[in-house]
Amino acid sequence: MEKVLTFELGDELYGLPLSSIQEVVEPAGLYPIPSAPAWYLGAINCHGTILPILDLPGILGFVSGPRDGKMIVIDGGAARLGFCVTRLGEIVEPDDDNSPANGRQLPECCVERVLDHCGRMIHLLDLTALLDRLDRD
Amino acid sequence: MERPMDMAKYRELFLSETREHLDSMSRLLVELEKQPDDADVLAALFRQAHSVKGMAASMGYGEMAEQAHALEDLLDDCRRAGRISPEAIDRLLRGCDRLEEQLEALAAEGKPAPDPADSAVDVGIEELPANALIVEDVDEDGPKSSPAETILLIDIAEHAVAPAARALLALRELERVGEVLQVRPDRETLLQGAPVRTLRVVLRSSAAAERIDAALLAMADIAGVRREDETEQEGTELPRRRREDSERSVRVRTELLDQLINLTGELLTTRTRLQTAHRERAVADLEAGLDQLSLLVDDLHYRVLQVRMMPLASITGRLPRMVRDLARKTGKRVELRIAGEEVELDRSILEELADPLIHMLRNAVDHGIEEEGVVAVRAWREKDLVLIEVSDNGRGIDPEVVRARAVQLGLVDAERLRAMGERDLFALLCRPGFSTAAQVTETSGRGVGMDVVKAAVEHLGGDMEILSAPGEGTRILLRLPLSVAIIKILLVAVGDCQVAIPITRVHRTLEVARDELQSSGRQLVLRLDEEVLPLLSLRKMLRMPGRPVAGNVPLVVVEMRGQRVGLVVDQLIGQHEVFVKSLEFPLDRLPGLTGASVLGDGRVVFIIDPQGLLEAGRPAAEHAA
Repeated sequence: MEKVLTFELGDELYGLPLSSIQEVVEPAGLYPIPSAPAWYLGAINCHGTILPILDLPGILGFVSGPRDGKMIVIDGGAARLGFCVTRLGEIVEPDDDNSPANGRQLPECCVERVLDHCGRMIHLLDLTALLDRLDRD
Repeated sequence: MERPMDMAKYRELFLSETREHLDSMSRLLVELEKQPDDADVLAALFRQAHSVKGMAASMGYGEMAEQAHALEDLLDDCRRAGRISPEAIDRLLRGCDRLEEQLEALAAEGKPAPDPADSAVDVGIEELPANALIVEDVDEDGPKSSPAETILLIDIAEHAVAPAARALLALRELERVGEVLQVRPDRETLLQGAPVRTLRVVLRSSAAAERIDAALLAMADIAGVRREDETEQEGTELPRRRREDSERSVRVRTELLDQLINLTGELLTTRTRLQTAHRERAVADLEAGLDQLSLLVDDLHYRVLQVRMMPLASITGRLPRMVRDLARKTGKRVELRIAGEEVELDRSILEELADPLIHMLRNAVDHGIEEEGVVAVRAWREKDLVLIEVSDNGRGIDPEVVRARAVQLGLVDAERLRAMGERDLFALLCRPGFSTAAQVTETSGRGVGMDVVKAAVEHLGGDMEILSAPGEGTRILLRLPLSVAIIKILLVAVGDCQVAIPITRVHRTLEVARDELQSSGRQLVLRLDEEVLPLLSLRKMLRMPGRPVAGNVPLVVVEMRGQRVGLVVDQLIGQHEVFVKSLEFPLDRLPGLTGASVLGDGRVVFIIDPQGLLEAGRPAAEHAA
């Protein structure tokens, strides 16, 4: 199984395959984006590229609360952007990608698959679905 | 598996080169029309057709190769006869059109030439008489499906500068493939420049659905096409198209590449020199090395910008043909003169300029020229600006007619109108819905489009001016930056947010005392040089909480929709020269943002287009009310 970086959104555990992650940053400055919807937390200067930082828990409808200071920068092919999460987890290698919880999620949750790891469910984030959602909103 | 990869690599090149060949072919044909026995031009035409054939054949686009071959044959006959007949010119022009359609279909589909089976329902064929087709068998192949009615929902991209104009263009495209039975919003509304997001069209057409979609999606600013009975699939078209813009390629002259390589060499030498100076703590050498480095970096910057530059000729190529067709349609004798095609501009500016240029020429032929006249396009450099002038020696614009129309539309009060100079007066022509043309014409509606032209020019950080007098023709002057990469901005602060406004959009800045402001119809206004400026809060436009206006109020005077307004900001910070970064998805989806920049101290600021911001904010504001 491919290694996955885990993170918490609210009290659920989510994950992204390492191949879709460019880096994890602790940005020096987060600059406001004029006229952007609330889930755009701001923009960072990431090695000269201007990247938007999105409030992932906010987009997916988790209650607002504290956010981890570190942000995940993804390179989803179609877009480069950063996410804030509730709390950053660790890199794990899931046991099984055939959790019985699969297929029970609503499409608006942007969950691609559910993985099992040491008895915990890791919800693999569906980046394409998420980007499509940003495209439409 | 290597072959498809190779093909994909060359496809872009094929598309751009063939486009250039077709442009110059139609230009040569229009030239030949004036002098049908010019052997040099005939020979040049033959070579172009031959190149298109060769390239299409080697790419495996059989249908296009065949079509080009037919043109080549016809040209060969003409060459031997030593002259070309008017009928042959018409046939050749239609042949070029057909090739262009095939090319655009190719570009839209992203796959090799269409199956011969569905070429019978190809876009545009219906409108040609059968004997006009150069490859005749194409029309006989395969049965035509009978016309069917479909309801199309066409989504206009959110960032579109002039959505109504895009919608009208889409309609025109649809009219080429079938009969438009019903449109919502209706044409009248679209002609007024209404902010349309989705166009609903009832279309009767025998063309295949994929083909209609491909033709629409190939147009700029069309975000998606849906059918009313399949709305649940909404959005399926979007992800695939999202990134297409970024796949554009640029061809670079080898000379320029050599210069870049030389520069890199010099930079490497300078690095070594600096390293040595640093190791030896030789301050004088360090300083000399840094001076050298700064010169080289400036030079590098200049050359890299050159890579993006293209001559104006790349968008004027199709103008002679267009003016010729327009002149025929209107029965006027129009001569087109183009000068300064070698002037270079940034590629992205040229792309945005192509449509406005066509708009202006159409207006000139339709409304300027009466029976016979000259339309001229002239371009030249002035310092770091490029000036483009479109002029005609036609009837000109009567200021009295403009005044009367302005009063009728209630744009300006009569007193102010009397005091208005002609420069400001003609600027009124760029207000949406304004027109002085007495009747509607088929080609350019009723002078619609000057607002579109103005918006496009301003979006690029330029401005435009209309000069005219009755009986003395009309001149439209566009002032454009050479390159969009570096611009001057005014930095302002609202709350904890700093935003940049392109200096070309700023008329002036000033600070006024609170008690100089007056309220008029619940709108704060300021009397300034005989003019009453409405004031808008930038805070509100950026959807930030308002704050009471007190003390000195900093204002930025900008023009929006042809009218000066004062933007109320919290603080004027100052002018900067910045390198503009274009925005990528998802930032490019946000309304009113035209770019971003990293300031010298590493801070990120966004560059706003006040008009775009206001238009984006309007529906939300109405919603709240």
